[in-house]
Amino acid sequence: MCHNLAGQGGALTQGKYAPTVMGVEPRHIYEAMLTGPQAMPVFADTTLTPQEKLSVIKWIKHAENEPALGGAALGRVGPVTEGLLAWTLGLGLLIGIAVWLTTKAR
Amino acid sequence: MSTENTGKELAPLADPGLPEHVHRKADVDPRAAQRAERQVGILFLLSVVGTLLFVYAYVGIDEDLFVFVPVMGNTNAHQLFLGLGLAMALFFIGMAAVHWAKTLMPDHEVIDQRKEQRSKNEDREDFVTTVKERSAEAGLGRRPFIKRTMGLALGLVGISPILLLRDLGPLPGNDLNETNWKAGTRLVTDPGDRPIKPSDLEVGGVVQVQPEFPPNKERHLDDIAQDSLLLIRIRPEEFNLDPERLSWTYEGIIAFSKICSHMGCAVALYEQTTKHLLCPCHQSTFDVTRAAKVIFGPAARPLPQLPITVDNEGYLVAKAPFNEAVGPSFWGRDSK
Amino acid sequence: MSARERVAGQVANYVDERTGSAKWLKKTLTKVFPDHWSFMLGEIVLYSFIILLLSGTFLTFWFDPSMREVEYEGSYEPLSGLKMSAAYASTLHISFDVRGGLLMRQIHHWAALIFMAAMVAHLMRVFFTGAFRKPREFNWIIGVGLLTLGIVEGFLGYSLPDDLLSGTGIRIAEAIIQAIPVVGSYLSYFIFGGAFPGEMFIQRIYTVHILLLPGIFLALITAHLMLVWYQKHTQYPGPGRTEKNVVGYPLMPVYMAKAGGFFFIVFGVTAFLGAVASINPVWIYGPYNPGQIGAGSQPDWYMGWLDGLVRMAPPIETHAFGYTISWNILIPGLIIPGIIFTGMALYPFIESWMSGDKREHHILDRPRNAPNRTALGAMSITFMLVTLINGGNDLLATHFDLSINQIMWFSRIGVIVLPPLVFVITKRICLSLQRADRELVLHGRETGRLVMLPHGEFIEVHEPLTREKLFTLTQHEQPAAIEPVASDENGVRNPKGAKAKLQARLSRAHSEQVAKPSSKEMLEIEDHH
Repeated sequence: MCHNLAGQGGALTQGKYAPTVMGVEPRHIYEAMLTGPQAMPVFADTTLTPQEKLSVIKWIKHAENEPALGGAALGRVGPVTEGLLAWTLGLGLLIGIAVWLTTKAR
Repeated sequence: MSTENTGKELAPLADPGLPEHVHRKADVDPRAAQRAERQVGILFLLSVVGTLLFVYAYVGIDEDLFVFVPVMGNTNAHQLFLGLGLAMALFFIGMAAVHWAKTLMPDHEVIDQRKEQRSKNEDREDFVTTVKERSAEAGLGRRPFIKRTMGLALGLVGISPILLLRDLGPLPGNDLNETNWKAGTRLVTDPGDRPIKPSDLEVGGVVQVQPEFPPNKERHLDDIAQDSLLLIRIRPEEFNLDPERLSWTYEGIIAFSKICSHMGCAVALYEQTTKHLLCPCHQSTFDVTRAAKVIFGPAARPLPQLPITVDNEGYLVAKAPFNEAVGPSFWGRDSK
Repeated sequence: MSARERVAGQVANYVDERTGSAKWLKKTLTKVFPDHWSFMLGEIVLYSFIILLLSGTFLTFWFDPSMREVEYEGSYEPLSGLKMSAAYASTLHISFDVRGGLLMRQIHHWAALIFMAAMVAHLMRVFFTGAFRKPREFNWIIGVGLLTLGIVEGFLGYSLPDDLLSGTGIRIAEAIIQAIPVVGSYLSYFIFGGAFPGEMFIQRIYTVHILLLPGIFLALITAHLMLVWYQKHTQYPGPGRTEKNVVGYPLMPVYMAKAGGFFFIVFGVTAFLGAVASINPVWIYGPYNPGQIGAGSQPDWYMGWLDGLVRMAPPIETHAFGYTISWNILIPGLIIPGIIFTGMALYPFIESWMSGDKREHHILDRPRNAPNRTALGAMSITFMLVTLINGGNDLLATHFDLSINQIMWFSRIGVIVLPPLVFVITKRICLSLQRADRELVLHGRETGRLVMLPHGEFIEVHEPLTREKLFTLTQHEQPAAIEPVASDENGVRNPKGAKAKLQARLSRAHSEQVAKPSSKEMLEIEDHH
């Protein structure tokens, strides 16, 4: 939802943002869902049960502790950083090697 | 001073021809050549090391082993060394080949001549004559009946494959104008499928809602794609609605389609303080107090509002279906 | 004759008796290719394509393109027991239960990103050096076709796992299709086999992604390479290089080693990225559900500009007589991209119309020597960058503490104001560089060494350039603008009147140059010394 698919935080309107939920104590996550701090809406226990809230926290904690399964996680914000890396490290490295390849040897 | 290419003096800006060839160390010094050869060999051997690493990782490293690598964090060792081994194996073959070419293969520049792309005149005339003669043999020009009927046959045969595509899908009919929300349909939580009483929802709260399905009917993604609803509660005095829309709310609770009227993403971001709904795809912003009126972004229509009330058991139900199609626009959409 | 030579001779004889290929092979093995790093960008594209074919084939042995619902029973614990499509489940299976599966998935996706990036870099090189001019216009059009198809192929590819992020992208694509006037909803129902998301979509795009488009790619790439082969590669200006020759190294052994080696290098670098950098971690996104989404949802980079255009579109729809036309979707989603790709494809013809140049060109332009073209290119890149940035506006907002609303307004205004500004600045820079080149040729390189002459004057020593450098800097041609006349000497009006005037205006702008030094001027200066 608002905090990005991996809980890294997301943009709201007019410069507001939903902060990252990584590294937040489970109690605080629970309280936030229940009270709706600032722009965050209220998720009452009658609409999102305590059990369901605990599932959310369990997933967040899992994501927080999950090792990088495919390699460096690149901030877990998705295609933007991946594209940036492809252009800088990927293409950059290959162009650098191409320059070396076409330079006359000593 | 001469200004033409004749004689010994070239014009100052004329083509001096290929520069003098400069020899590389390996060309003149046999020890340098041997060194280069050794380097190429080492590079090929590094590739072999890579392959060995790959094989070892495949059979020897446990798939559940994690190692800490700076920058990368805790990484799966099996996956990492499989990849590094493969990368090494491939990369150093390339480096070896390139280094070999650069240091040991001859690097004298070679000149090849270009031909003009245009064919010689006699070839072109030959071609034109051939085509003219053979077109005359085909005789299309003298036989208009053949030409016309051929055109007809070839043109029409294309209908067959197009017609075969008809069963790709059903005709939309009135599908896009209808959802599973009817008068009296109960609102249930998503997840959980629990019916909702107004007292369940606090001011400042939001709940994702689906229509209640009978026990024998399964909810599919197609249904979710059109039925998804957001239930939001604010203080009743904060509404800025005309009387008809106000009558669709219940004690400060208002229901909107969660499917964005722009391009169909789930409008999931609700700002409690501003009472704005934000769609994360293209940042269309909807004002809940004014019946989801668009206040920013590319959406051209507000989110459809579902009229709600309570049934005789006190649970929230739809008062009527949506008065317009939900989701993105389409040609036949009667948008007011 | 050694045993090896004897066997080789027998093999060669066997083949030649059946194909008569001795002469052709000899010609091929001695073919000359010019050597410059910027000519290798196209190679990166080609090799990435091969890597995609190889890694992709591997993935097809396990991927299940079906949308039927299954319960996950694989080894990734957090999703255990969850209902998802078979496509998503098989992707998880590849990632966690097939050894090397995640590596190959990542190599495949990194290769796709590099494929597109190198294609764009290659396109820019070809554009800025004028390599698309006669006789290479067909190849340019094929290239633009490959670019367009590449974008589609990549989009379909990362949508196959049916995860929440890519499914959102499919939803947006469906909205574009649905918005097409008259036939939109029919097209959508036919493509998806019914209402969105339906149960047919993944298996249908699978056919397109692994069969139809790769087939078209193979055909287009073959045509593209054959044209390069037959027309011979272009070359940069320099001593010994003329419009009638090509200077470089022979295919055998140098090019085989360098180009062949480069294939392994590209593969190695891609494999390295696949090993160390996570890409498309679909297990975190979860299976696609049209009622769910995450903030900061973006398409892959090569579609970012499209997303940016859609985000900045004004909210305009026409509602009349019970019908709706969504200009806010059609214009950024179909019309503007259509104009861009068509314009790109037609550019060689547009430029030759402006310059009146109908000759063959095999020597490349240095970008500064074609100021108008270079400025047009910089302008287009600016447009792409602004739209690309807007496509990531929510990410920029969170990471640089900005407001999405401000970024969007910046993009809306910037996309109109910045490109012409960049055009003017770039053109001026090119002309300045030409002026600098002119000074360099006429007066030599400034060495920074000061010398006092006997009569007290200080001068800076200028070192004259080598003949090779002088030639390289002045080899280019500077054709004059074409001047179609409004009426000839008998007063007969030019039948193409208005168009001819436009052509003359554009031609004048297009041929604006700083006059390069002539041999005569050089000799005059020498006479002074």
